[in-house]
Amino acid sequence: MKLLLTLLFLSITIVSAQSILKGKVLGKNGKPIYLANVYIEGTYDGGTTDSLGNFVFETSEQGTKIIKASVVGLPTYNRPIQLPQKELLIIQMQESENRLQEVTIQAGVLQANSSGKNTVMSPLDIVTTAGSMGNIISALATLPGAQVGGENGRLMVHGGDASETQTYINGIRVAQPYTATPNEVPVRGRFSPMLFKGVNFSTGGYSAEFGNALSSILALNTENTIEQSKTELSLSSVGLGLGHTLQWGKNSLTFNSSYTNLKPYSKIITPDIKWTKPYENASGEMIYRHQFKEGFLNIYGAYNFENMGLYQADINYEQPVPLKKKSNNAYANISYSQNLGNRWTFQSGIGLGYLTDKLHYDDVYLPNEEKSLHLKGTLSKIWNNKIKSIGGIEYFDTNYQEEYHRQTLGYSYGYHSKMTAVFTETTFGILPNLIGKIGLRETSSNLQAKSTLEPRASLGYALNKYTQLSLAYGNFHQQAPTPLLKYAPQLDWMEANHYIANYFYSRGGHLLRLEAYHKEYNNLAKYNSITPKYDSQYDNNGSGKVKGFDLFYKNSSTIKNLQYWISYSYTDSKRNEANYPTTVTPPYVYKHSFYIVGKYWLSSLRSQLSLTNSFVSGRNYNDPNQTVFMNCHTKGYNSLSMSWSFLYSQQKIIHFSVSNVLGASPIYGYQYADRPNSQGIYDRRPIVPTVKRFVFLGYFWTISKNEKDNQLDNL
Amino acid sequence: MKSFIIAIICLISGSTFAQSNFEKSMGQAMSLWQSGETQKAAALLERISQAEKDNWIPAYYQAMVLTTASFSEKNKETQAKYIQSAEEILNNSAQDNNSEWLVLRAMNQTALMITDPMTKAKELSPKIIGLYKKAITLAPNNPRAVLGLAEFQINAKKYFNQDTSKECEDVKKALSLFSEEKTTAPFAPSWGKDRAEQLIKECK
Repeated sequence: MKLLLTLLFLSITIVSAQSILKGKVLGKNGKPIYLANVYIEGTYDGGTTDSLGNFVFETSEQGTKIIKASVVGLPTYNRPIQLPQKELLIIQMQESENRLQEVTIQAGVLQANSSGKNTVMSPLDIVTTAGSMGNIISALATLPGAQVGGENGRLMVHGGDASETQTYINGIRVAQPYTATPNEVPVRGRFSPMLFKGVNFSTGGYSAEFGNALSSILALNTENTIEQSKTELSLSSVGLGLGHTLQWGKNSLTFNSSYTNLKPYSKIITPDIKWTKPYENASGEMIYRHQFKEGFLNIYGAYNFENMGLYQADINYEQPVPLKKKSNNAYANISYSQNLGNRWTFQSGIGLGYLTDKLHYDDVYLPNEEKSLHLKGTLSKIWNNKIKSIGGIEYFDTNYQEEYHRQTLGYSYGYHSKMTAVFTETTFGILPNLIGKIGLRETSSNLQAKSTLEPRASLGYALNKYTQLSLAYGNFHQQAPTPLLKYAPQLDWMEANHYIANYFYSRGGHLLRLEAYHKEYNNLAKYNSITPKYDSQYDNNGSGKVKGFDLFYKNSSTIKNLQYWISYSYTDSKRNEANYPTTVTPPYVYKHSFYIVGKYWLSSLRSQLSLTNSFVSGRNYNDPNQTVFMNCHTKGYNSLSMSWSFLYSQQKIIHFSVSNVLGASPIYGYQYADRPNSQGIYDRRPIVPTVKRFVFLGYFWTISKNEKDNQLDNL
Repeated sequence: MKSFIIAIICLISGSTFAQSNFEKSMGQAMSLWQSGETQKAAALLERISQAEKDNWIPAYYQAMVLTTASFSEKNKETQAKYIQSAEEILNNSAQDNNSEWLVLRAMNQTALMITDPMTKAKELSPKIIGLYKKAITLAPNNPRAVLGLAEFQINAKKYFNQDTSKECEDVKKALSLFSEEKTTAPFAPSWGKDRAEQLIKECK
């Protein structure tokens, strides 16, 4: 009986303890939040808000309890309350406090990453862009602010010349990023684009972490994950490739080898080159990755052998000149990152590069050798949701030696540069929609008397979720380029100041990016001969100004399976450098460049069709027969490229591409004779593409455990 | 003695109370889900999950509700939110060796993949297949793991006009596993038989 009473008593207390909790959930702007989940922590008691933000639920809890409210996309709200609670409970949700993630600085930044909201293309886009032929540099040319010289294939940014851009892999410099080719044959980037999960391409105003580049940084980052075992085979109209990846535990080891020979190809499609030894390239790559508990090790090694021989047209010679070139390149890049806990990260790396080039040109023999070393250590720390910092120290050693032999004449020259740099940079959230970044870099070198101190600063402001405005300023120095420095190691630092304003809009498959900039150059290197020579006079009396703007629009949502982008760059560059007597627009700058890239996935044919159309305006050239310097212009030209990739099965792909389909025949410029002929006129020779069209047919086969990998990446 | 008895009774009634509360609330969540109240169902499951920290089932269903909701969601931003919220729940490494959990992770990644197959398939499909394979290794008799892998591969092979007879055999195997399956814990995953029956029809 007593027991019954007790039970009854117990159930009464349970019933009487039920209280009603009522309230409202509001957003930061005071607007009610629909479908917020409100509950007492650790219990079933809770409810969901209606469209007016109201919630009501019963609870049997008493005393001090934690009330929680969660909404998708916002940090969970919690606070202690006293139960029972008679008053209306007002819950004010906070916006996410991580200011550093919400606003980014877009000025001068172009990202090609596989994820992330600020990325303009994916690594896959690079290889599937028609005309790129899997070359990172060619694909980047379709982005705003970048130009690639048709005659040399090198990347030029915002009116700067090709030597003003430095390439980095995992933060470590790549001393020789391009393959060796004879004059007037475009070079390629040495690296396969799919090695990299992210390509960060700067159009200026770049981070204090990098230096010795007047215009731009191309930062390539490899994937920090262990790869699956697989074997890859490729067979194409220009060569063979074989790759194998072995994965065990937390390790993966990849070997890639490829062999390119243009001999069979040049038998079918006759190029405008008289080969004596058609271009031949053998290369091998090795990547080892190891995942530690709190760290990641990436070892990359590459070896490249190139060999070629041809007759080179030269206006200073009656007959085409016999040219032979052999080149050996070895590169190692070791990077290690370690999470030190407490949001400290340590990163370090070593880059080693070795290049020998043996060039025979007529009766001249010109061997050279470049040894380079880069050591770097950085520490980064995320202090809180509003402040993060990075700091580091690095050392670059570059030893370049060249010899000149002609008959009995012979001499040697070169430079050995030892450069040390320290840098620090801090990013801080000033307001929830405003962030700032300030950086400082100091560089000193044995070749230049004074060290340089370079301030960098930028601001990012988010107008709303989709639109960002940013500004960037930076001061940059660079040593004179190798063709000059090898004769005149005493040349001083050249200097550039960048001012950039950027508008960035990205929403549901539409992306619009506008950028305007102004650049000032001081102390540019100059010489007093037709080409830089051993006995020329060198000084740092050059200067220059560049202003321009870029437009980029990408659409990937209006038509299903169609993705396209439009890129336009206007460049107004005036420089006094090299051997110019006055300030002029240099011959390498295109005033207007306009690209349209389209990619369509044709599902019924399991094919991707890709089209790239480029138009560039004419460039300046100097005609020594004219009295005014640099007074002539070449014609602009249009080039259309197409490619077709067919997925025969998950692992088998056939790829076919043609560049310059319409057979445009541009003239890049003219080579004038060093001396006038008997009538007192300087003869000239047009510089034209060596092949009108390039046709590529390849077959790619992947054998993997997961039966799903393919080689779209190697196209 | 008396107080001892009361304590025992309180304990039993307490635990049966909790038990029935779990079952009642789970039932409620299931009916909310069935009636299309996706967000309310997910919210209730979140509450059950945080009250029953040691039980993976409510979190499993919460992720399931969000993932399946993403398939029919037209608004791209909401769709991405559903997939991401589910992914955050599924990231719980304590469940790395739970076959059912891995099947759901694979489904979640499939949902992510089909939002943009052109750019995501290359990276995600090996990952999805890996998840299904691990789920099968952990529990060879889990019909949902066998079925999930077979269905994923059938879809790919159909695209390439390839023979799917091997995968159809796996669907048959899944069907026999379904009929042998005995559910142990209340609300333990038991779905998938209808899907297998549907697929086997398409195989013929």
